[in-house]
Amino acid sequence: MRFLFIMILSFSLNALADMEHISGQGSMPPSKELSASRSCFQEIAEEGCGHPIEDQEYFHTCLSDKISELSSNCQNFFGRLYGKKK
Amino acid sequence: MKKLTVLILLMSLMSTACNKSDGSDDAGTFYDASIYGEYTVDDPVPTEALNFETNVTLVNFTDAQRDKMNKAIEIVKLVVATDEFKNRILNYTYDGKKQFVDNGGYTNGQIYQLILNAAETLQPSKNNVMDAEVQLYYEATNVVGYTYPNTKRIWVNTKYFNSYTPAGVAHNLFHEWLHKIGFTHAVNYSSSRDSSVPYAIGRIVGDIGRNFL
Repeated sequence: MRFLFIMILSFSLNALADMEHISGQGSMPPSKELSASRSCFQEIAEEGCGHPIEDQEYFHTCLSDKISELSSNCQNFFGRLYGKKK
Repeated sequence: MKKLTVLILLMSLMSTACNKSDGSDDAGTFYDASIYGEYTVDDPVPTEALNFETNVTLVNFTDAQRDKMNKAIEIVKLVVATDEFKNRILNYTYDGKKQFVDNGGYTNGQIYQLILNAAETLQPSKNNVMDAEVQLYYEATNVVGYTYPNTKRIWVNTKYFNSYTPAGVAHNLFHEWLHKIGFTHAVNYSSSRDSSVPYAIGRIVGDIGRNFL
């Protein structure tokens, strides 16, 4: 009887919860991908735009002005991420 | 024995009732179609996305875990401010249509707006702030995190948290927070569940978040 009670309790609690199960989201990106994004943020920081973590609005405005001065890889990177075009 | 039967009956009823109140109908209680326009991919990122804020209380964290969660929270803000986040939500397609599964009757553009509003079911002001409490726990299961409709608290399993990147943590945090603003998904796995609002948009946050590691 106790076993039945625990089973029902466990079922009821599960039904109430909104759970997220593993879907492999936590792994580190390949080092090539990691260094590509980091070097683009480095490039734009060197243009005087800082990092979006510091001031989003300034970063966006500055990126629009400076994007044409970045390497083509980084133009593509920021074009995809922030929709900025040369 | 009688008491036990009554208790079991009561619990079953409670479970059914809570599941109902947690359903997609909930999201409909705070949406006013006359207020929201439809975003398009050509629109610039709205100011609310650039100013999206967070107010997350952390419970049961060591210093290192706190650092990781704070980084994940920063990633959430950075991701919400991107065009890619907006466009991936607006363009999300399921079954040949621009839609999410378990979308509560909302279009993709309306879901984007609801995210920016950040009006949690239990804290319904549209304050543009992701409000939550996060508590760590350990359990040897395949559950990364969970929450309940009647609390602002989100529980995150250290079995995964400790090895995840901050982008992976941001993915899980956003998934759980999407429940807080009223979105739900099937309890059991199906391929369509991956296209529910919490699963699909959580994944978008994790993907874009990798750019900020």
